[in-house]
Formats: sequence, structure tokens, C-alpha cells
Amino acid sequence: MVLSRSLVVGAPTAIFRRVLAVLLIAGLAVLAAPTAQAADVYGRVYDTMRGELYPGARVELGTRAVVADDNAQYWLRDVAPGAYLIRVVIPGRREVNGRVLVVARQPTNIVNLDLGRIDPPHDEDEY
Amino acid sequence: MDFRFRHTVIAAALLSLPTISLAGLDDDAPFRGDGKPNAVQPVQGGRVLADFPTNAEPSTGLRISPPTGTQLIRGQRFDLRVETQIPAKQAPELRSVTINGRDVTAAFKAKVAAQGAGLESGTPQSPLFFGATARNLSFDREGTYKVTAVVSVDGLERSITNEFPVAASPFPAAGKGGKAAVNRVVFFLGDGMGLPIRTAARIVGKGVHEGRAQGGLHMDRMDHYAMVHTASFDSIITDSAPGMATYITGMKQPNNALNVSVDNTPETALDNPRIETLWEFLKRTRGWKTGVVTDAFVTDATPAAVAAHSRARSTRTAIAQQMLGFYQDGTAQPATGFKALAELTQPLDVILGAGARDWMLKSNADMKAFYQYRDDGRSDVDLFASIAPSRGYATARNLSELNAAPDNKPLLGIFSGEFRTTSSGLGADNIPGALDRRVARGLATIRGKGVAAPEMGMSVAPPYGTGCGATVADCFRAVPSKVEMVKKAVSVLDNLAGKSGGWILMVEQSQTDKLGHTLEYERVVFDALELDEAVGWVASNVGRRVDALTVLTADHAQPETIIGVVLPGAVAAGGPTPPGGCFTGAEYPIMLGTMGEAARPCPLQDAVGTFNDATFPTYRSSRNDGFPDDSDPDIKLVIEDGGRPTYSTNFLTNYQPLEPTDGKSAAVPNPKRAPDGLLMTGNMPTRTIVGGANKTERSVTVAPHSGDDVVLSASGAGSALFAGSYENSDVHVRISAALAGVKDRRALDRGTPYVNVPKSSPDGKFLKGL
Repeated sequence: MVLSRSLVVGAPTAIFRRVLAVLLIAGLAVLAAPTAQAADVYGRVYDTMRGELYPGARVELGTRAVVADDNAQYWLRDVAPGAYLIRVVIPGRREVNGRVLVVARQPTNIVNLDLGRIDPPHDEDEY
Repeated sequence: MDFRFRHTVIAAALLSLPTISLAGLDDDAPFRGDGKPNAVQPVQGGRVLADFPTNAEPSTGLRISPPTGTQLIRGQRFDLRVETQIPAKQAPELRSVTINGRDVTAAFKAKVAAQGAGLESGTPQSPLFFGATARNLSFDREGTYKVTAVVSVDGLERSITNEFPVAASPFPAAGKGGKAAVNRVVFFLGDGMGLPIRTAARIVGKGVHEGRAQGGLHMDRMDHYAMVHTASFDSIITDSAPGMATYITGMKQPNNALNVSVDNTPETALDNPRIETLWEFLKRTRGWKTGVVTDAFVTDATPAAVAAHSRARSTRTAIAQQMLGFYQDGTAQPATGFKALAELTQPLDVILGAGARDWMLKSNADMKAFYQYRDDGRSDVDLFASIAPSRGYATARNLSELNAAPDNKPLLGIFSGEFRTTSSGLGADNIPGALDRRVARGLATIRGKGVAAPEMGMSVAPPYGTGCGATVADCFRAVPSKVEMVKKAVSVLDNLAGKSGGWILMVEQSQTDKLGHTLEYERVVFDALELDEAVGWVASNVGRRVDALTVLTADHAQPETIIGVVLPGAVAAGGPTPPGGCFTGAEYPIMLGTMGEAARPCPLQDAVGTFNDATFPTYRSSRNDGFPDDSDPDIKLVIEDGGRPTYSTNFLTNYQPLEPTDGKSAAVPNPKRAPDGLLMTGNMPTRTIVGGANKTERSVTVAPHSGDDVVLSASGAGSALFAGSYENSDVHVRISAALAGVKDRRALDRGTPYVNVPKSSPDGKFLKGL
């Protein structure tokens, strides 16, 4: 086999680069696969500083979007592990992005979107 | 193999392997009941929960409050809460609560039932969550307690365990009337006052000659020093609420929270699981008198931390009521639903600061004519004019009324703020900075300009009436300085406590933080010097007693640091380092120049003398009172921020405090502030770019807090206990040990990882209050 023989005798640069490309693509493909270790994300959308829940808030993760239910809860199923920005769109309020770290070995990733936490301080009351 | 690619091949091979799970799923949380670590790692590195790592059962989010590791003292009250965070299919049921193996389930349920559902017990609106809080419990024997809760969720039993170290009581002879070894405690809190500001205050206040400081600050002469870690429960950058509250409770708290933990009822800020502060504990158990002095609005995070309980520091009107112990339905702090809270809070005996809008009705004429609020105030009840006097408080609005107030009554003093409409730095809620008050009193100038100079905006009438004085200067002069407030506070507390009683006082210097946010460095240093003046007075008076303890620290730092010196005269006169040219038009022509160019684009960048060129500043104090005569001497100190919005500087003191930006965007400098100055490009968030790397929509138009450790200094009885490097949650245990008469810091090591906690696991029957 050319590949193995080449590796044994010392890879010519061109062949080696092709091998490297194959390995990298394979590795990235495994990382990107959503089904291998996908996890669920659950949370509520609220603002502790205002004492408000936000039913109907639109929660966007990449190309996916869900709407929070009457209790301001949302679920995102089968999310690939990784770090994300999650976008919250609340009617009548500004949009906010939160950070999400989805961990595969968790049964459910709890991602409460507390605008009092993920938003910068509004004024001196919050410094 | 071609060596150049060997590491790349290894990395690629690793990438192609499936991710190895180091820990399998486990229903239990990090701490098992047997004390052995679980496969799921706690808090650090485990990434147990995705919004922020915390100690919770991963399938249901089952958790206990207080957070595991909360450092309690014997007899200190806390609320014990068990809750889930993920909705079940059927209503979850509490199976058991055990304390060091003793089953207290029935007592826990009975306590919650007796309190009643709703706010008293923090009952979630949805039955698919479990949540129950037993209020005002305590451990009556020192040692380590493991509290385990088991909740049945959809047919599976889920468990979680928290561990609570309980340190010795401050009163070894508790219940027998034994007197403490310390009976006077003053806790100074320089808000945001990191180490560079302490250094800057020494350089500015004392001077340096041939490399030696020409004297030390009072805070430099304290007995013992420590480095304190300031991270909050949910952020490495704390805000001032948990920053102060953790010092005096032992409980790490989330940002914006005052003496409470997180819970699963975010819609109500006032029902979260609470913890008793040292102020409340000392008053409840020994009748100590308690007080707070600040230059911020009194309900601001730091002063509120000694007396208030709320998940949202912004609930200011309710906090004001808690400080007086006033609960009434139909007001911001109702009585219904808050019986346990009313039992927990203890009214303060001395309250001095600003922020009349949380204390007075909007219809009170003083709101406009005296305090200069355009249109603000309470809508429910006037705490200042009616409730406080009816409860025996004397009230004061300015220095003369403060001095005239009797020493034998509790005291509520609310003073006027920085209401100049030409200033954008502080606002009517906050007492003017020390520099501005000293200008008003004729004790300081800014580049030679005094109170009468039109740039100061002090010779004009106040904007909304002359209740506080005919001119702004008159009003500012009538605001007491920090040391004037402290003198009165101590006099009242001494009188109320009597010779045999004790008292504890918190003194905050708020403007070291608030004026730091707006990058008003000269004013920050003046405020640090004002705090130091109060430290000196306490050292010379209260500190003479053998039973007095003084602690000085900061809740957090800001990313300020000393970078060199500058010659204001040269800058102002357009001399060797003339201003202008950095960005003079509507656009920002940020050009890179070279040394060879005759007209470099930013000559101000060459104004700072650093490295070998940082000669010693020339501040002078003709009154020898610790304050410089002028904030811009011939050679002045330059401080800059590691975190900042975009702003411009010419290294000169602004005649009035001004916001660094246009108030809207972190990317746009305030056009009224050094418009010809050096453009300092910011690194604070500006706005959302969908798909971009930043995460917020709003601009952060001020400098932030930092995550650095802060210095803590202590003097007097038991002060040796404070040396070291430790968490802010360890401080209240050290104060308690000092009160108990412990002298040797080594004695606090009793064989556990905790401070002054013995190696024992007491019977669960020592949980009191169920």
C-alpha cells in the first residue's frame, strides 16, 4: 500500500500533506457530528433585576429558533457540544446574546437566560 | 516523518478520535453523603451546568441553598432551600432531608407548611418544579455539616449534598451574657479601591523624595495585611452587592444580590433564600448598635449589604424599608409574605448618606427645592419625614443638622448630591466627590481655579430651588465630609451602646468606584484621601480602646494603574506637548506618525513621562491636612485603565465630573470632555453584531470592575487574624474570632480546610429553627 510504505520510508511532502488533510477532515467531521454526543438545552428567559419572566421570547441558537412557552421556558433538543452565542429576542425589548457552553455528558444543559446577568449593567444601580 | 509536521499529525489524530468522556453520568452531585468525590466534578472544571458551573444534580438541576462551602458561624441564621431547575412531567416530591445523617424531613416539611406556601416559602408557580425554603435556621454547634436532600422526580430519586463549615461563635459564653473581647468594630470599604489607588493616594497625599514616600497614609500604618479574592458566586468580576455582602455573611452570592442565593422563582427578588449579616447577628443576639455611613445613595449595594435582603439590588425602595425594619402592605416592602424577613432584618441605628428619592415622597417639597431632583421620589410612604421620626430617629439633611442631632437617638441623615446640570459624572443620588466639595469649601483648586470660576458651575443657583443654599457652592459646602459623618456616627453609637454595649459601623467611600467608572482619576485619589482621613480619625479615637477592631478593604478593584507623570502646565499652555491633532474633526483620523515627522498626529501621546522619565509629582498641601491644594500641580500623576470605553484625555482634571462617552456608545467619546485630547481606544462592548464575537447589545460606557485580589488591612484587637491570602467569604469568620478573643492566626487552623472550624461532624439535632 502506497500510503503505509510511504510513511515507513519517510513521507514525501506532497503525499504527507494529503494524508494530513484526510486526517484533519475526519477529525473535524467527528467534532461537528450533532448526533454522536448531542445534548438537550433547557432554560427560562427572565430578568432578576426586573422580576420579569418573558413568555414568547424567541431563542435562537445558530440556525435554530424556538419560542419560550407560557412559563418562559424553552427547549433545544440534540444540540452538538460546544460554545455558542445564544440570541434572545423579546418583543418590546432589545435583543441580547448570552453565552452557552453545551456539554455532551450532561443529560440536560440548564441555560437560564437571565437578562440581569448576561446584559451589561444599565446604570449606577448595577455597578 | 517530516519533523515539521509531526505535531500536526498527532493533533490531527487526536481530533479524529471520538471525545473521551472522563466521567460517566451520575445522578448524584459532586459531593456525596460519604464525603467522597463523585465522578462529576464540582464547581471548578466540571462544567456541570451550562449557564454557569454550580453544585447541582445534573438531570434535574436539584440544588440546595446556601451554596456548598458557605462559611457560617455558630448561631448565624440562614434559609435552607431545596429546589429543582428542570420541570418534571409530574410534581416532584421531597423524599428526605438529612443533616449529617439525621433525618429531619418531617421537621423541614412541617416548618415549610407552618410558614405557608407562596413568598414565605419561595414556592414556584409551576407544580412541575420543586422548591421549598425553611427560614431562619442556624447550627448551634461548630463543626462540618453535610445536608443531603432527596427529591423524587418522575419516578427516580435524585439527590444532592451541600457541605457547611460552621465556625465558632463570636461569643464563647453565648447565652450567658459573656462580654466579647471586641466591642467596637469599624469596617472601612473603599469601593473599587484597588492597590494602585492606595499607592496613588500616598504619592499624591504625601509626596516622594529621592524614591522615599514622605510619610505614610493612615491606611499604611495599620497592623496587618491580606490579599482577598473577590470573585462572586457567578462571576470573576463581582459587583458591589456580593462584593460587600460576602464579607459579612460568609456566603458567596451572585452578582446584583444582597444577602440571598439564587432560586427558581426569578420573578420575585424578595423571596430568595437569605442569610443573616454580621450586623443583624450582633444586634439580634447581643443588642449591639449598628450603623452605616456612605457617600453613595444609602440603598446602594455596599451600604445596603449590611442590612438588606434582595436578589435585585435595584429594589431600592424596599431596601430602604428593610433598613428601618418597616414592613407594610401597600408599600414597596409589604408585610404579607415577609414575616420571616421581618424577623431576620434589624433596623440600623445610624444611616448616613444620600439618595433622598428612596426615602421621601415625590410630593415632599424638599425633593426638588433641597435635594434638586427634577421629578423623583417615592409614591407610597415618606420614610424620612414620617416613618423614621415615628420610630425614634432624628433626621438630618446637611452638616449643621447633623451636628445638631442628639446623640441619644438613632440617626437618619440624607444629604444632597452632585446635582450640577453641567456635570454628568454622579447625579443627584450621590454626594459630590471629595475634590468638588473641597473646591466648594475653598480648600482646593483645579489648575488654580477656585469655587468662583465659572468653569466650576458653583457660583450659580441650584437648578430647582434654594432649599440647600443660595448657590451650588453653598449646597456642596453643607454636605458633610466623610470624617464629619464618621465622628457623628461614632458619637451616636457610643451613646446608644453605652459603656457595656458594643457597636459595629460600616464606612463606605463610594466615589473611589463611581468616579473611577467615569475615569475621573484625580477625583478617585481625592476620595481615597478622604477615606484615609476618616481612617486616621478612627485610629486616633476609637482605635485607642483595647477592645476596638478596624478593618479596611475594597469590595473589588478597577483596572486602574499608575503609568507615569505629566506636566499639566505644558499641556495646558500648548508648550512642548501641545494638545490637539489627535482627532479634531467629526471623524477620527487615527494616524500613525513617526518620530521623524515634524507634526506628529498625537503629540499628547508623548506627554507622559514614564520609565526613567517619571520624576516625582509636585503636589503640595499648604494646610498639611493630607490633601493637595490643587489636583493639577506642575508634575502630576497619570493613571490609566486596562478596561475602558473609548474616550479622550488631555491628562488634565475636568473642572466638573463628566462621563467618558456620549452616554450612548462605548465607541464614541464625550465631545464635551477633552475634545482635543488623546483618543484612548476602548475595549468595552459596544453593540451586537449578529454572528460576531461579542455578546451584548448594550454599550458599556464606563470602565469596569476588575477581578484582581484586593488588599485588606486590619488594626487593633484580633487584627493578627486577618493576615494571609483568602476568600472574601472568610472575613466574617475572622471578625467573629476576633470578637471571641482569639489572638493567634494559627489558632484558626483546627484541622479542616475552613477557618476556625473544628474537625467534627455534629449531630444533625444541632440544626435549630425547624
